[in-house]
Amino acid sequence: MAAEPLVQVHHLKKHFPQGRGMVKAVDDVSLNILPGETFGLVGESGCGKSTLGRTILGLYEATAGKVIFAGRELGVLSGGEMSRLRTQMQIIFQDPASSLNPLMTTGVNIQEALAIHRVGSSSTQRAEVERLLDEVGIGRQFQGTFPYELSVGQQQRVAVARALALKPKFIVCDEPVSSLDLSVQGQIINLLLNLQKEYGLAYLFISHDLRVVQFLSHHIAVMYLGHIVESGTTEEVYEHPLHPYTQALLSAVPEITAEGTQRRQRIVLSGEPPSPLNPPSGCPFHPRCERRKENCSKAMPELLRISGEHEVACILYTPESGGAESKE
Amino acid sequence: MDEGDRLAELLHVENLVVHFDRRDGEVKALDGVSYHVNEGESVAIVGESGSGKSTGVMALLRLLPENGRILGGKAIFRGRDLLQLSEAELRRVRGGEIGFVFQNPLTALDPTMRCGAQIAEGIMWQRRGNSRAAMQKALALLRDVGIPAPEVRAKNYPFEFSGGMRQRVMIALALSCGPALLVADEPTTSLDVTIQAQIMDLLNRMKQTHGMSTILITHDIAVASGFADRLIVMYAGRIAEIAPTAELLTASRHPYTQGLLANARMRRGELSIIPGQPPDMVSPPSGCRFHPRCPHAVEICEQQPPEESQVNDNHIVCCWRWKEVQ
Amino acid sequence: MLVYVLRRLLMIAISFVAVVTITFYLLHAAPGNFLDISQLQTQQTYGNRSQQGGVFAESPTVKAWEERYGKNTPTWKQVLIFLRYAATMDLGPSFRFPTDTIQHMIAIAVPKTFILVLASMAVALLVGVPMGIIAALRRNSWIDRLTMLLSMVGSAIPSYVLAVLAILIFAVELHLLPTSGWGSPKTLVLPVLSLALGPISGFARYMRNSLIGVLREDYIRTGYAKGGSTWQVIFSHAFRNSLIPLVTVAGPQFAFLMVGTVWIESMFNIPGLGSLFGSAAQVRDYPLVIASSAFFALLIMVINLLVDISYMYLDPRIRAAYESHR
Repeated sequence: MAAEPLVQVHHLKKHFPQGRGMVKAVDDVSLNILPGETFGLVGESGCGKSTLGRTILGLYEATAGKVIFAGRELGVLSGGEMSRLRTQMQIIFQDPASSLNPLMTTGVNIQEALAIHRVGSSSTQRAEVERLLDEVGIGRQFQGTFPYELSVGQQQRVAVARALALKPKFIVCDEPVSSLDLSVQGQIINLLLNLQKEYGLAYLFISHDLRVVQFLSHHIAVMYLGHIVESGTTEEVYEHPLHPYTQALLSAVPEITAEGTQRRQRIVLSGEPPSPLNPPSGCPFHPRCERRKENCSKAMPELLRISGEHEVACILYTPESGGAESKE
Repeated sequence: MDEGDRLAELLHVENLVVHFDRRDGEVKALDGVSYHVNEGESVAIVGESGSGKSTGVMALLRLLPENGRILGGKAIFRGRDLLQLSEAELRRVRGGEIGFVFQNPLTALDPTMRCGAQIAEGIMWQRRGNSRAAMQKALALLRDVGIPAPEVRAKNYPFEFSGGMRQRVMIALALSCGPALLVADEPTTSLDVTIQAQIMDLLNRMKQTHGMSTILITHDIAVASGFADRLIVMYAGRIAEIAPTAELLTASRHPYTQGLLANARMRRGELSIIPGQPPDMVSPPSGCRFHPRCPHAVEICEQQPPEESQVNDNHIVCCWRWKEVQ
Repeated sequence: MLVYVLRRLLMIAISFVAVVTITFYLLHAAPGNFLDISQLQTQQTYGNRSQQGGVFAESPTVKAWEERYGKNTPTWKQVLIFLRYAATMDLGPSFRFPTDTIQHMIAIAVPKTFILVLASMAVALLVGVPMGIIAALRRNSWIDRLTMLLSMVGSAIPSYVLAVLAILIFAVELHLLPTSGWGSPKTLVLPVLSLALGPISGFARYMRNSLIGVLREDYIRTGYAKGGSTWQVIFSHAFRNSLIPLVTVAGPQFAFLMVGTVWIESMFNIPGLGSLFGSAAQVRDYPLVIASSAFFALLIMVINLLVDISYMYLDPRIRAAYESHR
């Protein structure tokens, strides 16, 4: 790996107390995001991917572990230092309507970001807002409109403009296209791609839509109940999924190929995703796993590197076997 | 299935026109929509928001919201025009001959009524049994759709089920009176991918064991293609294209369908996009409603709505330039 | 559940102490030392006779007071003494009727108020709820506007003004009903009417909004999709879901009624808790004022607790939420 990672996450945990129990939304997650690349985070509801994204940004205080951004550890920074660092990390949310202030015009929504961090004077801020609106494909003539007057796709573009305003190096995209129509999804995805090429942005792209993640990401991690169960380059994970959950997940995605038929053998999972309040012992996936062994309920398997950058947390795979299932 | 096989027609919708009254104007949701469903066939209606895909089916049984008005058209189902039925006859068709699975089972089920009772109620309303028989049937249905320990689960409330299980309850409800046609309106949109696979699997199974026709309404052409024999693509209240699945996927003749397919395939490195936004249905574009976003649009597309053209016996397209579009 | 109830009871106890404390302090803050006033009153009654023999006849009230609370005791200590006695339901004699104990007076008064309030509540529900239902089902029609207008008028007019009007019309002019008294059902009519009008409007408006909201929910459409008639769907699904939230309004309405009894009972000469409290306040019968206001507060809080508990039982989702919080 040539470049130094922009974002390093070390054994991050985020637990939420609930009643008498604890929801371990993120439970010992480590990953690295390189500058200028897209890191895709996939998983189903309750796996903790959104919580992970927000904890990395410091929107939630981590229960344990650390996040290092551009060489600086986030947990130990003072308020002022953290605030300055914030300009370099931004977030785009799933529902643009609720992430924009409905009482402020589109222009002011974007300008606020600049105003809070005192970037330039009022007039230079407005000029920058106009430039941003042009850049995301809306056009400066919309700066006086209110969010509700825009379509959902346009609102999301405004959210992107706002995220760009402070010239960040890293943007967390939390399901940014899930509430958009298919024809508009493509536009936003294209926009994100172009901006990445132009500004060398790094993205943490969180989504349950595997097709979109595959399209955008250089590296991917698959989460299940607060743990990363598999990670690697997009090609490694999508072409040779190792973890039984990843295999089931990928097989469940309806695909259209040139021949018009499904490519993968469909693996239909039995049972329900477990409750984060009462996780299964050992490997959280074992109750639904067709290939479970006796030891699976005893301890959470470690995330081990199998080949290249491909890592799996499953008892079936060891570095020695290099991708083939171990004979245990 | 042979080209020459003529399946009996179960449902034939002709020139359906539906408008909605909204504060800011009249939404021309459906503008002369025609399609048909054969016996034992599964069909998927694919479209985005504003396409009218749900309206096109809900209107048949007058299940539209208050501000919806049916302004014209026919819907021949088993020899009768659904739009002309009396209230009493309509009630018999709803649930009894056409069953519905709705999108969000959390809101589509009564939150303060036990699930078993909700299923049994439908059976009783259709006079298919007394309360004891209806409950027995409800339990059998719950078992059929894969809910373990139905005697216990029947007493649960909807919120006590997970999303996937709730949708199974909804499916059991829709099947409870043995309908000839099952309509599923975005049944998996609110579900996780692995649960979505389970539910589509269940729908396939039910389709085979009960032998009924199905209409799947979805925005996801990939899901649609994995399920249906024939695809109906709608855009902005009109039919864009209708064809058997394999043919639509490989030989589509409508620019919108092609755009959808390209998006769904999402091959690395090339993302062709459909520019613009879904149209404003209060004042939709003139002529062909897709023309502002169409890469092949010419003058006539803006002036006149395209007529239905037959590509072949089973393939219909509504585009002025279908011959050029490959 | 038990923990919740215990926590609420604890809060009620704390509120009770607060009410008593505040009442004591307010009384002492009122102009004129009440003991001196009663001394003056006694002197007025007994006049010269008290000065004969050179011995100041002490007012029996002062005597009774000092016996219980001591001379020149600080206010906070008086509060504690009261509370100690209240715990054993021994509230002592009142000023005006030293031969009678307060607890006895309250005991005879409460049943009358109870009947009055219960009857008013029943009338408010039996009239208000159907009004709200009809208004919701015939939304925006003349019937809806009329009922809502009536209810708005009803909530705007204070109950005592209404009482006077009612007495004027029905008793004085039409000689249909008695102007005051207690005993026969006839005497109940006017007071109940005056008291109930406010809650009628409250229930009508709340029921209307609740039902309108419920009728828009997805599960109502599911009911129709099962083949239910309008009445079947409304009866089986809409009513229960719109009545449940109504329970939350019942508590405050009950409090409203209780407060209203102070005026109504005075106007109609009904010897209930309200008039007891009202007249005690007027003549500064302080033990009675403190005791009856504390009792008032206690009654309202306990009824509200009962209402909240019943709401938990009616809505299975709330029940589950509380059970999971243990």
